[in-house]
This record gives sequence, C-alpha cells and structure tokens, in this order.
Amino acid sequence: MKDNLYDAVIIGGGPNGLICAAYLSKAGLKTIVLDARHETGGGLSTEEFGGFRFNIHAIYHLMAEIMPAYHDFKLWEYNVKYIYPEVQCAYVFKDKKPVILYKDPKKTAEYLASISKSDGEKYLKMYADFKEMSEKVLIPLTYAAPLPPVDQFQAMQNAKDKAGKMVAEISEMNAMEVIDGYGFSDGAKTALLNLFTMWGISPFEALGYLFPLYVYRMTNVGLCMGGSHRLSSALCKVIISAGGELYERAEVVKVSMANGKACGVYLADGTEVKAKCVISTVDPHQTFLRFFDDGSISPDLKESAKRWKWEEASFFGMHMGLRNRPDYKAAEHSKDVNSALICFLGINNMETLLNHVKAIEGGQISEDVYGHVTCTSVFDPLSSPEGFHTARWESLVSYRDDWDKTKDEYAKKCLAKWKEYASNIDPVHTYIYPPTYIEKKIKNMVRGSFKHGAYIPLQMGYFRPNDQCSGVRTPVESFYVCGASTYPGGMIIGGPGYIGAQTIVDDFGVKKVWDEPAYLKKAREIGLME
Amino acid sequence: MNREMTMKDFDVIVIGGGVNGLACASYLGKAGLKTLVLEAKGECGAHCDTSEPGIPGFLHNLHATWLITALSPAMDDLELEKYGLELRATDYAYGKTFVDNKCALFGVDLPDTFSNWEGLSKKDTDTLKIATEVFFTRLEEVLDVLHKFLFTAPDWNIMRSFSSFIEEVFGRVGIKLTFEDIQQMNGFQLLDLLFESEHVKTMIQSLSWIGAYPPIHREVGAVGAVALSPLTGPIIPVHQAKGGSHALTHALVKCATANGVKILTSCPVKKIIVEKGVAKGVVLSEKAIFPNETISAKKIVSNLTVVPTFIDLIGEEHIGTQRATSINRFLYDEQVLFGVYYALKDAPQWKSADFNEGIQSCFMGYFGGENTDEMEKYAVSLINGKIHNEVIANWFIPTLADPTQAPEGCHTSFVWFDVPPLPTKWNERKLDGFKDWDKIKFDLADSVTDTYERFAPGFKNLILDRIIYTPVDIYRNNPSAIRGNWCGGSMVPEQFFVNRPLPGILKKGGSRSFIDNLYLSNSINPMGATWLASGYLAASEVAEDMGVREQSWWQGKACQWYLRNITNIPRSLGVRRKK
Repeated sequence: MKDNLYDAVIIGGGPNGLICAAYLSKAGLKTIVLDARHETGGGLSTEEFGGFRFNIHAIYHLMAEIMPAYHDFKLWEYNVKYIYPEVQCAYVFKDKKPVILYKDPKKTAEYLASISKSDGEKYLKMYADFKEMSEKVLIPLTYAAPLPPVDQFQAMQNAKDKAGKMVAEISEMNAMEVIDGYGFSDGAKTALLNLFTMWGISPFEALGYLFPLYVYRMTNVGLCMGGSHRLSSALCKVIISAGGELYERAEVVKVSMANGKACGVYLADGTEVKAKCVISTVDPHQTFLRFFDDGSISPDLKESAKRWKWEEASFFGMHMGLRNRPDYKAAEHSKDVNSALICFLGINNMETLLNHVKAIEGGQISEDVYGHVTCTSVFDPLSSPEGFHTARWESLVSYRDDWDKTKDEYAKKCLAKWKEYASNIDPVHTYIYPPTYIEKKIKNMVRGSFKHGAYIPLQMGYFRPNDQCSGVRTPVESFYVCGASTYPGGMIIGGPGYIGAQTIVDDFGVKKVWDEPAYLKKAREIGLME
Repeated sequence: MNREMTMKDFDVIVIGGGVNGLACASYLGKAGLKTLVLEAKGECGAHCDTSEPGIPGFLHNLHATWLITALSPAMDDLELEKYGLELRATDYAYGKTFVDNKCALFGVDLPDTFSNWEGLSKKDTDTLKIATEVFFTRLEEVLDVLHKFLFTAPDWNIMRSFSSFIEEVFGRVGIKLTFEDIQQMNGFQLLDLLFESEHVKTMIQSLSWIGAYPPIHREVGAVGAVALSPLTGPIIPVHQAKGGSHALTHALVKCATANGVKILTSCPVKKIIVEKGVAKGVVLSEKAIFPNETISAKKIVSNLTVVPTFIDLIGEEHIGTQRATSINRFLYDEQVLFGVYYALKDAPQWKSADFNEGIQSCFMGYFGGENTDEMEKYAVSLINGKIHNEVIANWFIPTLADPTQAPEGCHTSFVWFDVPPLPTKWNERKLDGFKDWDKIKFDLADSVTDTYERFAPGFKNLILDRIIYTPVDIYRNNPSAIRGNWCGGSMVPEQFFVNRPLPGILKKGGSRSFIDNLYLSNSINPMGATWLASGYLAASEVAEDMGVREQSWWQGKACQWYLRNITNIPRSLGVRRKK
C-alpha cells in the first residue's frame, strides 16, 4: 500500500465510495478505497447474529435496479437481487380501515376509493404525474452533476417535454403544497406525505421537487434479498476483480498536499498512501476541517463546513428475532396488511403527523410513540433461522445526547405500542439501536444524521456541500468530493458515487467502458442537461 | 425481472464459504481452475467473523478468535498480507491464572517463559529447556513433521516421525517411553509423567483442550499435550488480526476474487448431484438468490461437516444404507462453547499480576481448574452431559493485541466456557437438552462474570455491555455446525487422524471421498480452523487430480512465514505500560 502510486485514493467505503471505486477500476485506473471501520458498506450494514440478519441502516433501497451501477456491473451476477413486494405500505389503525398502497397504482386507487370515493381518481392522477416527473426528470438528474439553480430551473422550464415544466412548477413549493394540489382526504394525504416526512425531511421546506420522487419510489421499494450488505459486498468484489484495492481499519486523518495539489492521504497509523487524486466521500467536517490544515484550503471552504447543519431527526431502531410472524388485528379489514413491506403504526391523521414534525423541530420526544415496521423474513426466508422471523421497528425521533440512557425505556414503549396492533409479537432476541449508536457506528452520521446532513435548501442541490464543490470538483486541485453530503444527497441511490466517477474518469481522459443509462440520454435529448 | 447467472460450468464448486472453503478456492483459482464458492449466509466466514452486536465501536469475534494462520503455508502461497491480513500479538501468548494468585505463562520470547516457569517449578523449567533444545536442534525435521501432520493426508508414518523426536525429549528428561506407549495414554497421564507442577500441567491441559484436543482422551489428549508443550510451545503461533478475526475472511475473499473465483452468498445448496457414484454438480435451495439453480462442475468440494454433506445433500440412495448408518452415528456431541462477550471501560487487572506482570500483556488464557483432579472432574461433567458447577474457562482480551477492536482506551473481553451441547444439569437445575440454553443463559453468564471477578477484582465495574452467545446461536449461525460443534465433529479417538471423519469415508488421500469427484474440506484431519489445513488439503488433492498442483508459487511450508516474521508482528499495542 505504502510503496504504490495510485491513480485515485477514495476516502470512505460506503455505497458512494464503492460505486465510484468500481467505475474507476473498470476504467483501468489504479484505485484504492480506505475505510475507517472494520467493515465497508457504511449504511449498507447487515449484522448477522445467531442466524438472524439485521439490516441496521438501509432496508428500503430507493433506486434499487435504477442505479446505473446495477446494470453497468451486472450486480445480479454477484447475487444482488431486488424484489418489489406487491403490498408496499400499510398504514394500520386501531379504529378504522387501514390505508394500503400497492405497487400497482390501479390496485391502490381501487382500494383508496373504498375508503374515500374521490381519492381513487386523484391517486391515479398523482401517480401518473409523479411517475412522469420522476422517470423523465428527477431520476436522470440524480445521476448528473447539478446546474446552478437558475440554470436548472430554466432547463426544466424549456425542456422539450412537459415533465420539465411540471417539475419547474413545483420547484419552489414545499411538500405540503404539492400534496395539497391533489385534494386528497385526510387519510390518503397523511399516508402519502409521510412517505416523505418519515425520512426526516420537513414538509415545510422548499424541497417540494423531491416529493414526487419519494412518493414514486416509496411505492416501488426494492428489498435487497439476503440483506442490504449484499450490495456493498458485491461492489467490493467488482472493485477487486477489476484490479482495485480495498482496506478496512484504514482511517484517513489528513490529505497530503504538494504545490497546492492533493497528492495522497495519511492514515491514523502514519502510513502515507500516494495518489494522483484524492476523493472524499465522508462528511464535510472531516473533509474540510479534519483533512486539511489551516492554510492548505481557503478559509471560506472551512467556514462553509463549519456552517454545515446536521439533521434534527434520526432513527430509533429495534431489531428483533421473533418467534411469530406479526399478525395485525387490522388484517381483519384486509389480509394484505400482513403482507405489507412496511407497516406504519400510530400515524393516524394529519394532526398526528404534524405534531410529530413539530416535536422533532423542537428537539422533543413525543409522548406518543409511532413507527414503521418491516418483517424482512416474510419476503426473504434467509433473513432468519428456520422457524423464526426477523423484523425491525423504526421511529423517527429527535437526536438527544441521553439516548444511551433512555433507549431501554423507549424500546419498552415501542414494543408495547407494536403489540397494541399485533398481539403475537414474541421476541427471542432484541437489539436496540438509538441515534447515539448510529453516531458511534458510522462517524459520518454525526448526531445520527443518516443522510450526512440536513435536507434544507441551503445545503441541497447545487449547494450540497457548498457552491464551490457542486460538481464533484473542488477548489483544491486533484481533490474531489462525492458522498451523501454532496449532490444529490443520501439514501441508497448511488448518485454521488456515479456522478463522481464520471467526472473523475473524464478528468483522467480515459475511456468509459460502460454506456450511459437510457434515461440519461433522453434527458439530454430534451435539454435538461448538456 | 429475474436475471440469470450466466456462468454455469465450473471446474470446481466449493460448497460453503468458510475460511477453509475460501482457502481451497483461492488455491484452485490461483492455479487456473474456474472455481465457484457457494455460501448460505450473507457473508463468508461463518466461523471467522467480527461484528458489532452491542455498543458500536466494540467489535466482538463470536467465533474464531485466536488465529493460528501464522503457521499456514497460505500466508506465503496466497500472500494474505497483501489482502489486508495484519497479525497482532501480545508479549505473552497464553496464560493460566490461579486461585493461589500464581500464573503459568507461555511468552512469545522463550526467556520470558522460562523466567515465569522458574517461579513454578525449576524441574519443569529444565524439562522445557531440554524440549526446546531438542526442538531447535531438530527444527527442520520437526517443522517437516508438523507440515506433514497438518497439511498432507494422514498417515501413520507421520506419527512415527513424531515419535523419534518425542522419544528423545522424554529420554533426555529421564522418562523411558516409546511413542506407542504415549499413544495409549491420555493427556492427563502424559503430563503427569512429563511435568511436576500442577500450574504447568493444567495450563498445558487447558491449551490442548481449547485447541479441540480434550486431555481426557487416549491418544488425542496425548498428542494435544505433546504438540503444545515441547512441539509448538517454543514458538506458539497464536494471534489476533487487526480489525478482528474477519480480517482473515476478508483477505481470503479478496484473494479468491482477485484470482478469478466467483463467490455467491445467500446461495445455500440443497443437493449434490450424484450419478452412478460420481459427483456432477449441485442444486441450490429454493431460498437461494438463484432459486433451484443447477450448476455443474468437474469437482465438488464440501466445506460442510460430514453428516449434512452425505445425509442431507446426497442421501442414502447414493451412499448406501451401511454407510448412511455409520455416518449418522458420527459424533458431534463433545464440548461446544458458551460465550459471554464484554465491552469494558478498561483492561481487567489480574490478581496474579503480582506474581508475574506478564499476564497483563497476555491476550488469551484460562481460569479455573486448579489442579489435574479438578480438570478431570470437569472432563467427566462434560461426558455426563452436565454443565460443570464451577466455571472453568478460556478468557480472551483481544484489545491487548489489537486496540482497534474497541474505542480508544476501552477494551473487549470474552469468556468461552466448554459445555455439553445437550445439557441435562447445571448445579441443581435439571435441563432438557439443546432447547434449554435460552432458559439458563442469563444465569450462566452471571456465573461466568462472578468467576472473572474472582480472578480479576474490579472486573464488574468495567462492564459497559454484555452479549451472550450460546451453542444454539452457533448452530443457528451455521446449521452445518451440528449442535454448535465448531471443529467439524468430536475429536475422539474413533474420529481422529486416519479415522477422521469415519473409516471408509475417505479413499486415497485426506480429502477424496468414496464418491468420485467429491472432496471434503471439513470433518477431516486435522480439522478446519484458521491454519486453513483442511482447505489446503482438499485444494492439494483436487489440484493433483486436475494436473495443476505444480505451481511455482505453491511452495509454502508450515511455520515458514512465521519464523521469518516473528519479530515483525507488533506486540501488546493495547497494553498500557505501568509507569
């Protein structure tokens, strides 16, 4: 490691670092990935314990096979397989019929109409709109470097497809305004808005343009068979097969500079790894404040990093080995509840949802416990030992320093709440994972920020992480950034890593041995990007 | 959309991605054979993993933890360091601590061992010095025998080569014993003859025991005792890996992948296709990522233990009633492990550090069983299906060797208590076998903690987190580890050495089974483990049969890498020096 000169050294082996490394290696660049943890994959963590597979972070892969990496590396050959459960979401109540969202919009429309007649047609209209906006605009833009906001707005406005204008129209709105445009009843509106707010994104920030993407993808969620970690494990094999290198327990502490250019990194143990370029996929504090001494980068880059806002909300998780498959009382209304990928419990109406949003904004923990549950073993029998089940309860909660102390008590409340809806929950093993554990496990996720930083307009889009580093390149020569704290953001989307790789490969002037996805080609044709 | 796996015809399929399966595949892939590894779990290395089942930042090695990879030819042949395997040691490799506050230690440096033993028995120290002298005088020969015993097909001639060395040691100590005499003894008896100090004897008994060679057994116990005192005591190659045991698994996965091996996980195998006594391929389970897929190959290697391999995957139809009956009687039910894992604020402080500070620089050891009688009673408990009343157990503090396994200043430690898989009793409590582990695990773990406290006062105050791992968990982690057995089946005389796994299963070698083109890399001599012996042997025999064994890079010998690198391996990085 220390005697080689690499083309690229990538700091951080999470999904974006791995995707970037895979492309660079395939393009023939001598690449090395360095991860501080003992295991790569970042948020693609699956812990196996006594035969139970617990997906500690990502379960719902937002883009799944839509990620260019999936096709470019033929990840199915590396046992990455997604399934898309027919029943996507079930909002379960105690006193009324559940709200169920199916993968098939017609089925959803029919079902919603059975609760509130006009919701059916409205759903079909909304779904068609959101699908069009997503497929023609929002998904392609996920995999291309951002334009400055004004230019992006104009490109959408002038695009040779009405989908561009549709997105332009909502780009200044917040999610609440977007959903209000469809006039749903309270129940359906709650269910749909929650698909967005469950990720800790405020419905009142001007990020309405993301709303259609989230609703469209959260009703087409991919579950990674065998566990989320299969995706990162496969990417590791792609990297190694293509001649790349990967080291765990290799914490980077500094970027080494020569003549104002990044020329490698120093590890915690003092080892120097030399490279022609350095790529950081970790959070802005580490990237700009830790890796560079004062004087080696501009003071305003440091300032912008200091101003970086972490997320207000994080997740409280309860991972359980169960004796029984959850059987919800609400299944009396519709047995599809028991086959739903995600069951939402306690999100009863808009008032409840907005109370929770408010509590989180105020840094409070609601008295009233609510959450969403996925029982992976229902879909993936390898998630648990024979005769058992594996499930995760997850609640969106404020980050607080005292979670280590309060986690057990809170877990009891969550379990009690879950049992109110499904009385047969019988745990044989429990692993409680509060926001303070998130922070301990993955250094980037400061204050449990599972997206590496707040989704607020000032640090989204062109401004993620800041306007000097929008397109992967930074003011520091040979230094690039492409992680969840860069455009387009976090979640399992494989966006930053892909965009990073395309840019870096271009800068090296080497050939891309992969084709651009069809949706990107089309987006160029309609004038959304160059 | 269902996508197909396009690669179908392989030279070799390895069923099971444990470290031996991976080692086998790496060798074969590097030798140019198109090789596929199929693993049921999400990741390879079921018995060599590292995870964060508690407070993140505290890594726990729930399976293999004292790595003996240093003596494997694979270190050189597969260049495992290149793939990230970095070994870590402590100044003392093994230590037993006693109620009388003494401790018996094996240092990495011989003078440290002698110095410690002087305080226990001058006579025993002299004996060890003689053994060491013979060892170093005949080093080349000893290493050759060791290599043959571990990495080639079992043969009584190897044992006879052992014997001249052993007989010389015994002779020079004044004990007239032939190797044939030794083979009739168990470990307790042999050590009674060789050493006088109960401290020394019980220390070696415990080391043999945790190495899967229970001292109570005739021959097996004697071999264990002899291998671990005169034979490898002088060089004791046990280590941690930087980042945890799974660094070995990762290195093997990377090595295999770099050498063109395809590894598919979450792909359990449900059947080995056998036609007219010849293995032809496999069929994946309906639960696999590629459900019910049929994959053919010229050679099949099974890294599963003997019963799942023949009974579950092949079936009586192809192996015959007589063999099936015999295989079904294969013993798994000797000791298995009950583990208690701790996250600690600081390193434990042993009482016996007063006798010898070295124990504070020792990452693994033992407590309980003050003398041979007590150890024998413990062995009898296990045979009788009783969890022993007193906790007599193996302890580890991995962070003394590799501080990266815990946050700065903190430590991890764990205790492995040998237990019967199907317990009928613990103290006064009646138990109903395997299923009762969940019932007693918390109380038993408390008992383990109490015992630790006795030998290291203040231990309880250090505890930040505790994780319990029972034989049931080991079994659920890997159903091929029947009832949690971690060494491929009981190491009893009937299943030892040339008899392993059972008479009639192997033919012409150490891994070739009676079914043509089916090789075993588990439940064979010496056993799996992190020296990668059984994987190496299977690879050797497959390669011979495929005409690719002669490779310029495939030359490594037992201990070769270690003897070159002993002084390079960082030691005691996590030990805080007393000011």
